[in-house]
Amino acid sequence: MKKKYNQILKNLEIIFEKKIKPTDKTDKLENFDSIIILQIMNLAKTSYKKNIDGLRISKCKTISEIIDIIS
Amino acid sequence: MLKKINGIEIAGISCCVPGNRVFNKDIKSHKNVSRVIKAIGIETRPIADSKTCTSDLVLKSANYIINKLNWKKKDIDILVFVSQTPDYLTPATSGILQEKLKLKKSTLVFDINLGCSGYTHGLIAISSLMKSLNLKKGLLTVGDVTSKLVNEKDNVSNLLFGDAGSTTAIVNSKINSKTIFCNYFSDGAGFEDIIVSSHSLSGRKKLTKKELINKKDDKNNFRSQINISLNGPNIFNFAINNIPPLLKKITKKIANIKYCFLHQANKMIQDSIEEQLNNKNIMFPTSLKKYGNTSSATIPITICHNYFHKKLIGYSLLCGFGVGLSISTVVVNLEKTKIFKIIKI
Repeated sequence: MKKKYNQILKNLEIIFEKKIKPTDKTDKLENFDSIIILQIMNLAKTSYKKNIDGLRISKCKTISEIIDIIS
Repeated sequence: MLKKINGIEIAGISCCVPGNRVFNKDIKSHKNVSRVIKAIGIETRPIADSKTCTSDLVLKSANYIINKLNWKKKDIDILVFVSQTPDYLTPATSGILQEKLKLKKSTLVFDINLGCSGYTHGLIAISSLMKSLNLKKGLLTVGDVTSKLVNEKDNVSNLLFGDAGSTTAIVNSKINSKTIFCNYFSDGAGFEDIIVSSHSLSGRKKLTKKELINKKDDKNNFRSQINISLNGPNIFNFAINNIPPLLKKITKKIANIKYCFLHQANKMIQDSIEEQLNNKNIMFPTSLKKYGNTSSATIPITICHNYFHKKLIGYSLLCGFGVGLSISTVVVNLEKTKIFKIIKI
């Protein structure tokens, strides 16, 4: 479980193009925009076989919440 | 699931774009425009000037292909015009094209209101009619000037759309083996995901001064009711969840599919579909970098951009998807199709 959590965190670092922590707040991340949301939806679909609503991702307050949805 | 239309041949494909270009790196309203360009895969787009309408682009491509194929205008029995940006709300633009092209008055002409799935829907419609009415030659004209619907302060759509017109010359062939395979899908529940809410006095949202006022959304994008509004996440979900399983089924049923010409919405959708299909025998050509999303014209633009004066081998799978929401696919052999260089107006 922890391995999967860390793998998703690594995937998200590639999307955000920077080092991030699970406790990071999304509203402090400069580029948490519609492009990033689409990239996260794609990650969830192609790597973790999950269909996630974009609105749900946009409401996440921390990186940890995004990871929980994907995992 | 797959329907067959026998005895239809695509003789040629031509495209026309405006000479004027916009470079996305010059759009200043995005905080980090280079990151967005990388994600959507669009660097530059042809944009029509204020005087150029969809019919101007289509007309030039139609005249060009008629001349190149040495077709006699009297032999053309049908012209279908597919667009969501016609010259007028009424009359249909196809009639204007019939007159400007000097086609005979007995030509069957009509418009279809569709965007991104318009090319493949149009191919299905014109092919079916040509067979059932025994029409010899036909022109499928598609095009859009979607850039005119975009609010420049709308960061969801102001880097996406290019303008283009295209003509596909179709022949009712006596050779029954010239078969096209088609499939279609509609989900009207998503009608608001790509929408221009107000356009005239007759629509659901009557056009008044109020509809012209720009309003800010929660992401600081501005648009009025006469601008195009896109729900990116919903469209993305629709495409990446519905198209890959559909294409997997088609590629299992029909052997020798060598190319998949997807509607060019943006690079993220293109990559996701390609990745999910995971078929190394099929090529996914693209035209996004230079032409952007040209709505109904993206499939012919991609064919002409990558294969003009070249021969395609085997079957080509064409897949349009978007506004409606809708999807349609056509599998066709383009080995003998003349593919022309994209011309400018």
